[in-house]
Amino acid sequence: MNRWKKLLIPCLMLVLLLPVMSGVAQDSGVLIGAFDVGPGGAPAVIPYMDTAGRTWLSKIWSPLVSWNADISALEPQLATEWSANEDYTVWTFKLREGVLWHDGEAFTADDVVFSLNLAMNPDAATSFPGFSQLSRDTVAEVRAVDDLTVEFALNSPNPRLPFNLILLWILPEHALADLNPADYQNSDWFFTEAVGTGPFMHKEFVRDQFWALDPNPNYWRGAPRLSGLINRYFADETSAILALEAGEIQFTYASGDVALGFEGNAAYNVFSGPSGVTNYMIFNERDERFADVRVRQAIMYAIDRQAITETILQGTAQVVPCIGAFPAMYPAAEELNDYAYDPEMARQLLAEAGFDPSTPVDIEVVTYYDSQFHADALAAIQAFLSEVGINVIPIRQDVPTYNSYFYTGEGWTISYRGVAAGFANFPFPFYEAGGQPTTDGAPLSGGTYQEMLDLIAQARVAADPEYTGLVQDICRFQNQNATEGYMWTAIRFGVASSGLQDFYWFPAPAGGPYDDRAELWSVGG
Amino acid sequence: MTNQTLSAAAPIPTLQQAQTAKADKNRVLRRFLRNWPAVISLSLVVIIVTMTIGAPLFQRYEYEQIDLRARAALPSAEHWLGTDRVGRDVWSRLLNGGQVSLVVGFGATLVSTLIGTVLGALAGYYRGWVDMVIMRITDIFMTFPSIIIMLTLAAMLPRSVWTIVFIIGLLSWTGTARMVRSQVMSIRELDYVLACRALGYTDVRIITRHILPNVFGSLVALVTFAIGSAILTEAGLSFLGLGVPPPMPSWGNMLEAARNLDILRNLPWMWIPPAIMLVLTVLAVNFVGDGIRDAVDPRMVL
Amino acid sequence: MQKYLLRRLLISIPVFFAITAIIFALIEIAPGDITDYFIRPELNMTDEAEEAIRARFGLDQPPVVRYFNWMLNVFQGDLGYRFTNGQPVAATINQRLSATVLLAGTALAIGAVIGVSLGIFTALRQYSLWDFSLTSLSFLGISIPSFVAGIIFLYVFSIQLGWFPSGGMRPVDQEPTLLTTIRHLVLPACVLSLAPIANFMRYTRFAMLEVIRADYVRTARGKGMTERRITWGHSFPNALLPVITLLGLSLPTLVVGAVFTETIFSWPGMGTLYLEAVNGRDVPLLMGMNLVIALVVLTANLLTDLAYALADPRIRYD
Repeated sequence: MNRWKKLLIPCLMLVLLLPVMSGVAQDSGVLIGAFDVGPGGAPAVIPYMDTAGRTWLSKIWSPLVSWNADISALEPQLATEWSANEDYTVWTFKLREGVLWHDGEAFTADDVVFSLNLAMNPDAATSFPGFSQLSRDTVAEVRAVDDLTVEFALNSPNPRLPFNLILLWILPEHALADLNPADYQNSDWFFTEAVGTGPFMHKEFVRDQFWALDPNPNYWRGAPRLSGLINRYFADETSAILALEAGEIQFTYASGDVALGFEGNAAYNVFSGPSGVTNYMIFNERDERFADVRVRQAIMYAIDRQAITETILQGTAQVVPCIGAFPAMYPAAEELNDYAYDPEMARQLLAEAGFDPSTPVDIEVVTYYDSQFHADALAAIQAFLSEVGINVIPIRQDVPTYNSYFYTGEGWTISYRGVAAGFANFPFPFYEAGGQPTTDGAPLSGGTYQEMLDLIAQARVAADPEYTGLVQDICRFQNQNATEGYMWTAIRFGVASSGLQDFYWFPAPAGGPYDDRAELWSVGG
Repeated sequence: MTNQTLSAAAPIPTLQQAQTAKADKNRVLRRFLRNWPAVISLSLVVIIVTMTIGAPLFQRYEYEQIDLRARAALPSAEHWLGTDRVGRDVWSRLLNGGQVSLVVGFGATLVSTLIGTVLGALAGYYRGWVDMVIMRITDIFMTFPSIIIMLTLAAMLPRSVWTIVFIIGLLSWTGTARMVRSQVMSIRELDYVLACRALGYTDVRIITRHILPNVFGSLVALVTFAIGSAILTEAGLSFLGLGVPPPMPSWGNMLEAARNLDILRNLPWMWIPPAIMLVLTVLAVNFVGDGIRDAVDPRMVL
Repeated sequence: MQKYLLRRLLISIPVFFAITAIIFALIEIAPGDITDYFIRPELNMTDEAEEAIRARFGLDQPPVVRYFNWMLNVFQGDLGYRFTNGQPVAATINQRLSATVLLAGTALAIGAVIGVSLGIFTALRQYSLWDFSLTSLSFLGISIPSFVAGIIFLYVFSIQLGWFPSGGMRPVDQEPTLLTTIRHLVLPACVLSLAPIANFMRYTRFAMLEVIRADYVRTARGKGMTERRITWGHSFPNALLPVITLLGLSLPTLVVGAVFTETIFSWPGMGTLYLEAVNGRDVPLLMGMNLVIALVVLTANLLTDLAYALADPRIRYD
């Protein structure tokens, strides 16, 4: 017995001494955050390959225009003003004067031309054309009129080109001109000697660990107050929350249930905002049961969406009437059917549509979501629908599996999913034949609604205020015909240590980019 | 090291012993019953199995019934183990979840132990090319990317508990095979096995009656681990779209919920009960195995 | 013995080809490919870029051609570039591998040493209070999923006590040193060693129980040998076989990694990389990682077989 004790004591001492041996160095001017945790984040992405993670990219690179702070309008960045000709086929952007690259070179119109051509270069195979909904067919040419003026010539009218250009990070021609576009995605330049025009400059990147930045003294809005900005990578939200509580980081994304636990705690500030993503059940209308409007409406009536968002989701989601995450996209309430919980009506509609209440039907609902939020929501949907004789079975698939079925239009009946839907990024392609790669060429749901397609065709070329009216008309049509099962839009949260001053964060889809005035952030005090 | 050639295993059974097989069985049973940890564990297994199979008799709510007014409720007289975040009764989910988990745990372990033991015994006993072929197949199976296989099967096989049993069993027999083989290789060189061969016993009889009983100890260790890990693996499968379809609970997916920080911290009644059930089940199986091993081991004096 | 070794090495070649071919086929059959990864469900991507992506990664060629191209490149020492982010596969694996070897190696060493010691300890005291409590503890160790154990460890040792960093492999504000690496390593290594400790303990205990009742141990005791000499000189060497087997079976964990532990401790290891590779259907990375895993499994099994002959002279290879 003694021999065990002899071994135990030095072991214990070692364990107790280890933490004492090294203190935590705290530089008060450095902000360490988990900027790529959560749905808006994607660690170590590079411009034009940014499926998400744009909050961080905007620290180093800037676009011509970005969203404003609450993504309700555009905000000038490297461009100061822009205008279009009468039919929206030529757009002219005036560029900001005196902007310097991190290496001291001057920013000019040639950089913009270079950037768009690179982003559109088929050899570089970037995801920019896909995400910006711009294609080589629509953009005929981009040319530098003078050092501070750029012109975009289009093949077809586009009243919302500036919105499409939000994702066009401007890269330095002088640093990247020699890069072979085919090597673009393999290039180490972005992680070793990145040069941008953003408020912070590349300092050190350690893959899978962190990306550290220095303040850019030449930033056009003035030098940042922070003496450093570090993005720490976490494989999981929980780890980031624990690091926040341990005081090692000062900011992270947090899912609703966890964020609510921080509310009222003086040591933290909770940021929140609409996710901009609509969650809905898309019915595969190739299955003729769902081609019947009564069935779709019955499902809407059968689910108590109000109770789910208020009780189970604890107010971290809001009911939506249609695809559209912002109230300004909805027509007046009296023009909408609110589908208030009415199981009797649901049963009646189902019976009319030929459903026999004595023989419940089993239907799989596929989703790619794996968070507790959606698991809880689906559990509730399941319970409500079983009340009217429909047994849905939620099946979770990983994203590639899900996509490989979803976009063929086969192998699924109902899908619970989300779609980013703001004014400017309205998901038109979802409703149009050929807009998405389905096998039969039909729209994703398999249902074709000519009236809606007409509205979409008008909206595509309309400028405000007609555009807003058309988006509201589309909403009304979707709502009344229950073209899909519209559920809710989630509210997303970020938690920051209250030691941060003038810090700002907004849960923009894919991270924006939006205007967060990062040069004003500071720590301590 | 000089003692290594001495017999390390059961004595050679004589004709007389074979005739008294029945008396033998009684003795084994008596020995087992004298081993109180094993007896308690066995009763525990019986209780757990009864409670889960007879779940409808012991529950007050259906496991899928939601109650929005009593969501995330603390354990109470109403809900003995509280409710989850949708207001479903945790006690009822625990009992019903046990059905799935026990079938998966025991079923998958049965499959993997059977395959592993047969292949391991053949390889270890016959050696030579039999060994070479079986072990190279084992090598190949050991390098299989299980996530990809599960993803693929998830897309091809029907969702059912038996599919899960089959998949987990099929992907986890390799360790058993190598373990059994290593010991059979050693035991087959012992004097009494050589004697059995000299007596002209068939290979099947030598393997099943004289070699495998000596591997039993390791098998118990293997089985107890395999049951626990199969129950946890099932939860991972539902992540890939292959687990038991919701709202059907399982101990694995109840435990899995603890990945959510809110549940882990604020709703411990959602995940601690399945954790306890899992520990108890595995522990009980272990002690029962321990007891059986001691009872059948003739050298053991209690 | 040498002949056996030669035969094993020769047969490894077709086995190796079989493994890579089977794995390639499995990835091919699995639903979804890299284009499905790039279409993010929540973003409104049109099909414009899809064919470009397919062509860029050579997915327009038949699978057999792609497999042989991959094989040819491997023989030239080229594992290719990742589909998802264009990084070189070899460098990525190299970096993640060293992190995993460090973490899993430490955990395996802790597990083997503590597990074997506790196994002997409990075997010598079968059915004692020690035996019961240590056995129960070890089962607790394997029944708590590692992410739960990880969170609990982090909560106690990082947040409450502040002894260890909450994750990552190095500090972000200073260069890593041996000391900082150890501080980052302690918690994940402890969590990861829970299962090996339990495993080694159970096998050692059972194997010891088999041998301590054997005649020769009784003989030794009869001859008046000290218990210590009996344990270490006679019982333990004979109980080694299962322990060696388990050690051999555990060696691949050095390259496979541990997804949940790595995730919760933000440890950049092979486990999370594999998950990334699967999620992105990143074929070059998947093939590269499986190549490494296959090599290690084959080597570990060969070493284990050779170790049997050393541990038990009755086992001969011819």
